[in-house]
Amino acid sequence: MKRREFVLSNAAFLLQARTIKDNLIIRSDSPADFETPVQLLDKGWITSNDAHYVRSHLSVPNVELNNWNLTVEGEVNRPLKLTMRDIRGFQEVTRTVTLECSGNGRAFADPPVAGLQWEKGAVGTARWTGIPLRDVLMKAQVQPNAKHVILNGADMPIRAVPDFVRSIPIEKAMHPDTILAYRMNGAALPVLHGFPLRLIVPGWEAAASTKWIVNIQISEAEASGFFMQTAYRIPNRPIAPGTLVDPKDTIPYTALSVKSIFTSPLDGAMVPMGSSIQLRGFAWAGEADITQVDVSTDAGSTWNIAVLDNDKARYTWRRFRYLWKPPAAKSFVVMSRATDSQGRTQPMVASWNPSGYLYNVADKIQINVKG
Amino acid sequence: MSKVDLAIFWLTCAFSNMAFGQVPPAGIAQKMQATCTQVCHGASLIAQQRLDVAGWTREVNKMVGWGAEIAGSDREELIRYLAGQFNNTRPRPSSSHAAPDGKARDVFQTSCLGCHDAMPIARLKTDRAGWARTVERMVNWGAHIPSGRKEELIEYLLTSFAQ
Repeated sequence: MKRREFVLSNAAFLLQARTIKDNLIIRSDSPADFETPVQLLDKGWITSNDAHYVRSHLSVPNVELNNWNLTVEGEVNRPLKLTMRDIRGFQEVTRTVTLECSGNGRAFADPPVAGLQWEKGAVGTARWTGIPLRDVLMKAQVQPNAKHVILNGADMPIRAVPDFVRSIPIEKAMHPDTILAYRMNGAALPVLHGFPLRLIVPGWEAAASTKWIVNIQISEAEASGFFMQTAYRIPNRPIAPGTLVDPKDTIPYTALSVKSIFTSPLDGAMVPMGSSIQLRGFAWAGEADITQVDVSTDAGSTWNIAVLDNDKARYTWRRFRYLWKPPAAKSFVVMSRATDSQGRTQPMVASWNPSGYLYNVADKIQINVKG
Repeated sequence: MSKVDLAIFWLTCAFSNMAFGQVPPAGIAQKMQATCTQVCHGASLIAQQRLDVAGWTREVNKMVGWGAEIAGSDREELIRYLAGQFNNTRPRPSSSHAAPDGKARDVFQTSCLGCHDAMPIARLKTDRAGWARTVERMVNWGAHIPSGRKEELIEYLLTSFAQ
């Protein structure tokens, strides 16, 4: 890369990162972990690139496209070394997908648990454009004994920090909706979101959607490192809050839970008596579809069916709305509770696990009505 | 940040009546900087935790396993400091909470309420210089203020949370 190109690409990265940082809640500056305020989620069904939450485990790598390759190896007949030009030669597809960090809501865990203290906004929906992962795997001629696809990005650990390496089962990897994405909402994939290439595993917790991919290993066994065998696992049985669990008594989880959050009005909002207000938010359910969202304006005593917007896709959230005219000048506890096509409904009491994963209790806000 | 700057920073913290009130044990500040916040992650990752001694022990041991260089003799002191400062008595984040109208309301919600609720702010009756010092302290603990909006935030705090 020429010096001028290098300077320009770095300047563009810094400008892009600065814009994103200025919009979001900085849970961690480095590694880059930024949360979307619900006020920005409220702006639309699609989350803009500048507003989409960012999750990283290691320092963000500055990948030079000229030197970038994707290697595919392991249990294959034809190991591959692909350039971006090769990648662009496959059939292009676009999938609209809601991604959620499995720790979204960790800040509400009681007792508190260690980790990034995400509130409600480690979730977002974007149009991801790229190629089906299975097309690459088929070109590599995956052998019959292959059971897992291990993905590694260009992000590198320091000292003895484990590398962020994850794997997905071959069945999910071969699903036509699992893609290698190089565009986000029509624009080149932003560096913070995995430039030049990232995986999108629709419906699954977002740690499966590896960013900055450089290597794909086809294997009989799943990835062996910390981020597969210790992290991103939940207890294999219900436990009392605060209970420690040995890693051998945990299981990996994959698909997201059913969940909803309010995006407007905000918790603690003051509204005038006599006018109607629209209670709205989003509901999602990983690989399942949202079938209904109920809203309660009396702390869960009674429930009303909210209207779902028409915007939807196979793996996305649905916007819900409920028009409500407060009957008195006082404080109200308003709740949302989603149900999905698998018959799952958000719980009224949060289940606790030692890492604060998959928090999905019915959402609750307070609205103060003044006379 | 030089050692002198760091000493001033901790000294400033000592006079705060907010969450970060206690000067860390001698040498721990430098060791935290050298081992944790300058190498692997920012200070905000520490400041947002709410753990007891057992929880901090697990975290510190994990970090040592990942290469953080903390001598055995320092480890107990560090854990005691962390558990004393960053525990469950700290207010929780409340970034999706309504806030008073004002030009910097969005900054207040993301940069301030993203880490703790408004209670410690409402309690802190101070003047412009006091708010400026407080904002600076929070920046030292990893708070990100969008480019060129620090003065807006100070004005918002002064207006919204009267002396």
